Amino acid sequence: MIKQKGTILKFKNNLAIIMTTDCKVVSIIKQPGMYVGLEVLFNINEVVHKKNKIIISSQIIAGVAAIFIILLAFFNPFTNSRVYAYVAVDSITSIEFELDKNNKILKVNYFNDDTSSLLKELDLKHQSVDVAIREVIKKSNLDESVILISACLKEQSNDKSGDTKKNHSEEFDRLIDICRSTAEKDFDEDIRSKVVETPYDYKKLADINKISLGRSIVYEKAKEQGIDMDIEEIKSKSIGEALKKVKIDDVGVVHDVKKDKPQKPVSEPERKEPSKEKTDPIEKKDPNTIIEPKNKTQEKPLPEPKNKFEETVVEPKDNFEETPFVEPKDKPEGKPGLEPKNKPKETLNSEPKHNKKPEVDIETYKK
Amino acid sequence: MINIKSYYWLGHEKDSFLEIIKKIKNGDILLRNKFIDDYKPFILKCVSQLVGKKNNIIQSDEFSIALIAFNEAIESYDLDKRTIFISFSKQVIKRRLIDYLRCTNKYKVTVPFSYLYDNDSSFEEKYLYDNNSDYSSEFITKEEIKNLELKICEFKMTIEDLIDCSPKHRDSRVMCLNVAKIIKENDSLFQLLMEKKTLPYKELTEHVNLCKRTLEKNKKFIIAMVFVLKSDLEILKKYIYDTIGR
Repeated sequence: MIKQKGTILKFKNNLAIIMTTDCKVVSIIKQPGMYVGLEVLFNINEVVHKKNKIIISSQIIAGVAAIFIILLAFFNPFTNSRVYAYVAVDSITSIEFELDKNNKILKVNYFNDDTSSLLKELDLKHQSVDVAIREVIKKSNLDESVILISACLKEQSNDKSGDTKKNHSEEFDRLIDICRSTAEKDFDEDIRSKVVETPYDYKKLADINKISLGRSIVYEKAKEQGIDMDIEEIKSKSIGEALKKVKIDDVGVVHDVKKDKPQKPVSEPERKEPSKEKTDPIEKKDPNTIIEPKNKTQEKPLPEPKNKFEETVVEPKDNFEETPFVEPKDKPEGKPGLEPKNKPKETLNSEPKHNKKPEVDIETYKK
Repeated sequence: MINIKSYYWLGHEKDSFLEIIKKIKNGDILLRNKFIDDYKPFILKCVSQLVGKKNNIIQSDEFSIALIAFNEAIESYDLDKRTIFISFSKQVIKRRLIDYLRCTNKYKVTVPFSYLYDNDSSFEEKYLYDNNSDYSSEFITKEEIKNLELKICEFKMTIEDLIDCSPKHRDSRVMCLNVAKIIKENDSLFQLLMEKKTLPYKELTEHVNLCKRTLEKNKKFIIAMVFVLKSDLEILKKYIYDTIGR
């Protein structure tokens, strides 16, 4: 090994700059005890070349880059593990899934404490969404109730500008199809279900209110429609009850499932004739709901009483048969619907007003 | 590069490091002090690892013992074995400290050094007097090198630039050194250099049989060498004259 002698001229960045005996200027790594002006003997191998530094650093950079590329290829964090869409299943309980692009569940959100304990027993992570929905429905033992399945696409930062329709990529359509087909095939006949596609705004509101996506839709719609509903009420009530009061058909794309059964056509009739059939089930189940409809029935029937009466008399024969005798009795006794019988008649809401009200109105007017 | 890597992996100390220790062993007090000073953080770490004290370690007896042990390690380090100095000195420090702690635990009495000596000779005479206290030459060298750097800076260059600018081949280096010597010896050329802040190419070509391009290429190295020759840096001047062959 060739040794060289030189005098230290300067220190810089842990390097000592040395002028050698043959008048070369080189740098070596600084050693303890070195000072400017010291004459040292060093091995030629100790000389640090700039090129060496560059080569070493470029090798390190290349190595690190290669490791990153390999890691990316294996785990691919940017595509799969990112939340892509949300699906909420609301019935008596509420549960919300965060999904990736393959419709696998990344995270499950629970909202209702007592029910969530039941649902927490299910291990739904990494399962596909249709399996999860089936499991949830099975677990919650629903018979004869309404299920609202709401889905929304997570808003990508790039698309913020706007049109939510643009966000509806093929994957999202597939997700909706999956939800619909699960609802159609796997639920009991007694269960009525709705699948709703919503914009991301509802999810944001849901997060603020700490409720599920489905309940958020109902809550917001209730506000829009001027229906007085407390958020606590929304949280605690089953979705079926809430949907009887609130129409959510204009939220996004609504798919009604199982229209063929007699009880199911909940949403469609609502649109055409504001609720002859719907109101029946509501009346029977909920005594509470009477108060609001009452007002409406009293207000609305007055302006157009007899024409409608004539028109509608023919169809709702069944209704007539069931109710007509009871009504006159109730009204004289008093409005407050304490007994179940009273309520149904009054709560026939705005629609039955036409059919039955004529009788009621006439009688009441007479009195 | 492969050579450098294998050199590191073998775990040997570098030649420059061994050279420093050799000089210390040969009695270079200034270098010894500088060397120990540079290693103080390491010595402190050894002490705190063993003693565990955190307050005032520098003023503790243990630190003094460790310093003495480190000095002993320098003396007893075998240059031929080329083992790692740090691990060797760490072991020496640990052993001396353990010995000291055992002693103090045994007797639980510590006696200041001053008790053991006569009061006749003063403390300064005994400990602060240094026979080899001729540090003036080192100091002068340091100052001269600083001056050299300042002068070079006037020409918008630094000493680091010389690493890349110094010619690789010995012949071209000798040629440049010859040019520098001519400028140093010719006052008019040197004046022109100082005025123009660059090499007087036109005038130089009259003295030397070199093209302007070659001179331009080695401009920085030549200027630096001119100032080395003009300075009092005897060691560096000796290097230059030895290379030229005087």
